[in-house]
Order: sequence, then structure tokens, then C-alpha cells
Amino acid sequence: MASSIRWSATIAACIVFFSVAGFPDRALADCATEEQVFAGGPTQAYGTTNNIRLTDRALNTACGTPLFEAVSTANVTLGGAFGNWVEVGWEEHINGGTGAHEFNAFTEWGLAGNIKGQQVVGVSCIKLSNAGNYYKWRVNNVAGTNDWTLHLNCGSGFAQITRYNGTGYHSGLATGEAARLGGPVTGMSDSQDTLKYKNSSGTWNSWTSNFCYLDTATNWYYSHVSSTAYKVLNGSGSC
Amino acid sequence: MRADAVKRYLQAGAAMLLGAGSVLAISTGVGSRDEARSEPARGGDQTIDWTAPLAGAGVQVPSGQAPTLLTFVPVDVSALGTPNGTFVTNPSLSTPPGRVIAWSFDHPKYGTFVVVEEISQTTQAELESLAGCDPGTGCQGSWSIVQLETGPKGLLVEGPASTAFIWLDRGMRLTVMGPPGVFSPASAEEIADTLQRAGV
Repeated sequence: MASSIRWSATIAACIVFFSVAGFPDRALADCATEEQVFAGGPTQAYGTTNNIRLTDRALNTACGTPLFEAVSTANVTLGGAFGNWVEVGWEEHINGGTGAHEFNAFTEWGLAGNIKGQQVVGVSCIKLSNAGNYYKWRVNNVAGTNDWTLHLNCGSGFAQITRYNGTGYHSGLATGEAARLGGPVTGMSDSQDTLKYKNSSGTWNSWTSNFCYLDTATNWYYSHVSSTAYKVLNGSGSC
Repeated sequence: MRADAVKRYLQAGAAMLLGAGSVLAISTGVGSRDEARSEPARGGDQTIDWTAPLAGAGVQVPSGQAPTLLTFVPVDVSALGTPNGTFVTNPSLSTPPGRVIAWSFDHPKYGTFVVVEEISQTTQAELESLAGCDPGTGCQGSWSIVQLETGPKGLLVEGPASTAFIWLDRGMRLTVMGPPGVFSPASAEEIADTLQRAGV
């Protein structure tokens, strides 16, 4: 009888816990699934410069740390097939020790969807107290090579964060990306404007248009603002 | 798969933590690092839609129309059966030299996979230089050089987002890729050999 009572109490406790905290398998699945909203711009671009709002997003505490949960980047799809890319931007995560929201700059490139190189870099202007400000991020092909340099302008000019050599591509589709891990709990609010691309002559020009390139997020959508600006907004919608 | 994914995140997190020292040592020129911040890991990657491999930049076209939109004669994929879809970069977005073509398949032997063909921007030596994968620099999976039975050497990538084989032939860059853990390296190489025999 006592054993039966203990089992009943245990089951009841589990029901209460899971109804409050959610089923862990579902939560972990959300934490392992990246959702993305991309805007596409000019093709055959040799670089892109995106003015991106540093946005403090809702993050999913169930995902644990350390983990990129919220991301916004300037990005070039290398060549023309989605899955080959080079990018630079910010990521937001939860500090494993303090639970505070934190930002870093990061760079990344890869092929066929798989990451080949990644760097996470702390930068003085990319921090929580600066949320709401816009910063310019630049993906730049090094002329005459398949090398790419990644840059950030904190306000006093562009500075190089890193360089990826021998990627196999010198041009592609200029894009902007917002991404998240953590499912619907994690926010995806994004605002990118003053979008520019570099042409084959090395000249930086304004994007001539932008379009919904990819939207795998369940409750966020691409919103066209102008040929050089777009937002990612909360609500239903897809490309 | 979920357990594997979580394990990958933990491994990636550990790798990034181990790599933090080198990251901290980098002089970025964009300001100093705040002390005592945790180093996160992006376990994620780019998720490929196997039914729409060019995403919103592509349009599905009848296979016979595709060559009229390109500056190259695309590979004959008929030896692989009938694709579910033939996709070309949307002509409204790009002039012909910037366009690529992709086919999606649901094959009775190989399962789901995609073939992408585009004008190469690289060299054989540069492609082969991509072999090797250091988790300490963020690399995922295994990147190696494999020689096909038909002769060409290409880059085999086995990662969390795909299994892919990439090779060059007469100025073209071809990629065969499919879902990770389902689409095998052997399948990728067999398909590449089939396309080579068909006269890429």
C-alpha cells in the first residue's frame, strides 16, 4: 500500500513537472532544430554589407548552455546553391553561469550545409547594453582569390574579424539571415537595412531588390521594406 | 537522431570551449573581449530542403526547358531515373552565367538526394585542399578526398547536415548530396560514377 502511494505520488509529481516544464524530449528536439529566415539579394555578388539591429531576443532557458540560440548575419550563398555559405554577424546566448543574455560576433563558412570553419569573437560594441543599435557587418571577397574576409564596423570604420582562405568560390547570392534554436520560445525579431553588395569590379552598390529566400520558422516571417531593407516579424507566413 | 543531435551540440560546445583560448588570443581590431563571458557553440548548420534545393532563388522548370536558361549544357541525369524536380536559378534574379541547376530525386535504391551543377569557380588543387576537419576551428564531420572508379578525385563531406560528394569536370562543379545518416558515402560515389559514365 505504501509502495502504491509512493508510485501514485511519483506519477502525480511527474505530471505536474512535465505540464509546467514541458516534456524534455520535445524541448531538446526544439533545441537541436535550427529555424531560419533568409532574405536574398543580388546574385553574382562579391560581398555584402548589412546594417543589422542588435536585438535582445527571448531565449529558451530549457536548451541549456552554451548554445547559440539567436543569430543574425550578413551572408553570401557561395555560387548559387543553398547550403554553401560564408557569413558574419552576431549571436545571442544564455550565460551558463549567470543566466544573463550575452552577445558575441561570429563568423562561419561551410559547404553542403556543413560547417567548415567558425569563430566566436567577443567585441566591445556587441553587448547587451547596446541592444537596439545598428551595426554594419561585411562579407568580402578578396579580389582575385576565393578567400573571404569578414568585418564589423562598431562606428569607427570596418575592422577585419577573420579570413577564410580557399573556399572554392569568389561570388554568390548576397543574403541576410535570422536564425534560432529553441523553438517558438526563442525570438527571431530582425531588422536589416542599408544593404549593399560588391560587384565584379569591386564597387559597393545598394541592393537592387530583395526577396524571401527561405523561411523555415513556424511563427516568424520575412517582411519586405524596400529594395535595401527588410524585417523578420512575428506571425504566420512563409516564402 | 535526437540523442545524436544533442551529443553533437555537447561535443561542439566542448570544442568551442577548448578553442576559446585561441579565439581570445585573436586581435580582431574591433575592440577588446569582455572578460568571463561564456563561449557558446552553434550546433546548427544550413538545413537543406531536399525537395527545393535552391530555396526561394530557384524555380522548377520542365527538364527540357532547363538548357535554354543556362550557358552550359547540363549533365544528362536520365541514367538515375526521372527526378522529382528540375530547378534553375530564377531568371528574374540572375543573368545566365550566374545560374545553377539542381535535380531532386527520390530513388528506389539511393533514397532522397540532390544533384547540383554549376560553373566551377575553383581548381582541383583548391578543392582537394579542403580535406581535413578540425573541430577546434568549428569544422563539423569528416572532410576527405576520394577517387571515383571513373577517375576523378572529389571532396567527400560527411556532416550533420548532409553527406555530399563534390567534384570537378571540364569546368563544371558537381555536387551529389543527401540527408545525413541516411544517404551513404557509397551511394554518393556510385551516383557520381553513374554521371561520369553518362558523360558529364
